[in-house]
Amino acid sequence: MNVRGWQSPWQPPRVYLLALGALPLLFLGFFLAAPALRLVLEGQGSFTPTTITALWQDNFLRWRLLWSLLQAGATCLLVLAIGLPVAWVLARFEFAGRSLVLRLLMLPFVVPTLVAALGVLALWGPRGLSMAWLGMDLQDTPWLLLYGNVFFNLCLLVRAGIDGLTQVSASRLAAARTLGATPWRAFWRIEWPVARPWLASSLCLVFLYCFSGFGLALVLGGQRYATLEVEIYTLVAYELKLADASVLAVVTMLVTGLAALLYTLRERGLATPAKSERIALRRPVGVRHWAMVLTAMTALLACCAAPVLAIAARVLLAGPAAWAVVTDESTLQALWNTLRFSAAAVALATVLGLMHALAAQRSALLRAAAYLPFVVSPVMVAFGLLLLYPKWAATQTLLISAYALLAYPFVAKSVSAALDSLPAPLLQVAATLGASPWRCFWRITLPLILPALRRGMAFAAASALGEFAVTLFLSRPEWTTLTTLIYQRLSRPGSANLDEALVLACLLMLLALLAFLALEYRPASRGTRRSSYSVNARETQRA
Amino acid sequence: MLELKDIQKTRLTPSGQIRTLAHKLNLSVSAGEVVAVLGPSGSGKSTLLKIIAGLELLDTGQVLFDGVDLATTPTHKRGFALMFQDFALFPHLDVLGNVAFGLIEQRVKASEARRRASDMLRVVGLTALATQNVWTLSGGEQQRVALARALITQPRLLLLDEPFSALDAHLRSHLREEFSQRIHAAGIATLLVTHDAQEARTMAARGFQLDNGQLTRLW
Repeated sequence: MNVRGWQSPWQPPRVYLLALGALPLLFLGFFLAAPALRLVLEGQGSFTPTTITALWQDNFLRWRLLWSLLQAGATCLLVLAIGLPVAWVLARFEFAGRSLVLRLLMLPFVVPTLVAALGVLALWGPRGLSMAWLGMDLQDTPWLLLYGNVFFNLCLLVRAGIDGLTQVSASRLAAARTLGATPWRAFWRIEWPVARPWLASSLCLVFLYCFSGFGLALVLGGQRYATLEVEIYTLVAYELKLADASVLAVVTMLVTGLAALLYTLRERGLATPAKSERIALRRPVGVRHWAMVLTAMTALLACCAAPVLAIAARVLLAGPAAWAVVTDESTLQALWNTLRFSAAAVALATVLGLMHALAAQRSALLRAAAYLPFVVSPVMVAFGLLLLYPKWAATQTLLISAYALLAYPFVAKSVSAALDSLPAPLLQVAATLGASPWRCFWRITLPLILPALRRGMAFAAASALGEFAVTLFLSRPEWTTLTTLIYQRLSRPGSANLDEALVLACLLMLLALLAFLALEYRPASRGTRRSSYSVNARETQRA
Repeated sequence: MLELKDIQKTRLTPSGQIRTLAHKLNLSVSAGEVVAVLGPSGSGKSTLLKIIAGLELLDTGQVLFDGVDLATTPTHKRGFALMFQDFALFPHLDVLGNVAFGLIEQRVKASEARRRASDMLRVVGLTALATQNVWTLSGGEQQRVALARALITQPRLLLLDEPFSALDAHLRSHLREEFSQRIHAAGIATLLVTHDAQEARTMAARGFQLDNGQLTRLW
């Protein structure tokens, strides 16, 4: 019997892959699992039926929990109601500007949370444009937070909807129509069942993000409509009730864990989309089609572009006095801090993400581990780190590691998707032409996953530049970043401070956009066909 | 000369059953000879090529080349060339880069590799396309690039996996003749697997049918 001591060249030996995964796993254990465990232990004494009943009977905390669930559920319904028609229009019609709109769907993923919150305030807040133009102020209503949630999550659902609807078989739809189905009936009986798993999967993510979101809830929720995450922050930072905070943290982790589990289960159903004859895009014909296109684009504009435009408008109206903040010493220091922390975090996240993706090629368990930082919210991460490593609480190592922890799943997932779509024959041919496993990686794998790596880095950079919760918990006053500086300005009364916060938000948004474009942009004349080997659309929407 | 001795290969199907792809299979291919293996889809033809190339592990048996057992020789040291039905051209390299790939892996200097690749492109009539991206080429052009890439390293054995199945009927017939001429001119031992009997008869001196893991000589 021939037993060989080597493996096929495009499949490095399992032991090498697991060795590659050791560093990311250690990192996850040290900066995520151990702090999460510490969080649970902190509240251990409080996990008695009496304490839990007492917490539940506390009207304030019960409302916080119910509202956290309610706002996440309501956001899911809202984004489905608005996003599905928009996705259908974008998946079926070809019109001028469609490809630009598809690219702009990425924008909310790049905009830092705090910038988005300011955008919502600039539009619907007490000094917002709606107040000036319509006399309407949504402050202290649930709509402010819901609108912010929709801004962030609508594009996620639209992208998932487009991906799902493009899987619909043209011949099946044609068969349904010839058998007498109206367009509406054909949608419900043919298109909806195909798109449903994609939408369900993205709704799990929307729920997860909304339930565990911090920045938006802190700024937009106010006293009445803040969420559990904000409550945990308040208990830790202002009331020093660590045991109570840890009980709430465990409740939050249970809910987010459940949402993540549902997402993973749904995701497995999407792993191998059926090959089918795709429905060709058509030009809108007649008033009905154009009305659909215009309505969809207006909805996108109102939900996803308006807050960003509102910031720009408010900043222009603010005048030169507010702009002086840009040259302020504290701003320059915050800018420097933001840049250096983010650069270090992206570098670390790239190494960890790449190693994790390569190691997870043949291990579903390892691949699932890359999701863990998404399941545990930034507030939990920071709180857990604070409890477990109190001596390192205000060190740059811990701060940058926490940034990298939250950023590296973007790299890992993006590269994993690219590795999945890498055709095995390319590596097999390279091997038969004399390339060793290392040369196969260097000459074939790496160039082909490079676009995905860059995209992952771009998302990681956007995440690090806009990081807020972790900075609030773990940084020193002299390490103020742009996000915390914006929050400081926002916490002070007066319209001058709000204007300055808006200018700083503009600066941060510009920075995030520049970083994203610098990493994501590639000249059109070089490289590979993006659709084939870079991260696929589903992975992008996930990221 | 390639020799397969008592090759045994089984695979577990998704339903949990064991399927025999090769059972005590023996075959030899001499230098300069073209041998065809015919069989329906899923009969294990491609697996056989991958076993020979070292891309798949075999259960038992031996793969010998010029009398040397290749059991411990990894793919990149075997000196074979494999051509897939979808050509598997490297999308991030231009035509010249694709053809020069194997030479660079043989530690030939880059400038020399490109010069020799240019010569090879002249042979297959693709000089004008040297700097083109491979995905802009037609099916026939891609096929020629794949052949040039395989031949330039002067492989000891050429393994062809349904090399013409992705082409239309007219182009298939034209390229089949062209390939036969070039392979014979190069004098390389060649193993062709295909489900097209006409293609096999046109190109190969000997032909076998692979069915239920066993080879039956057809001509």
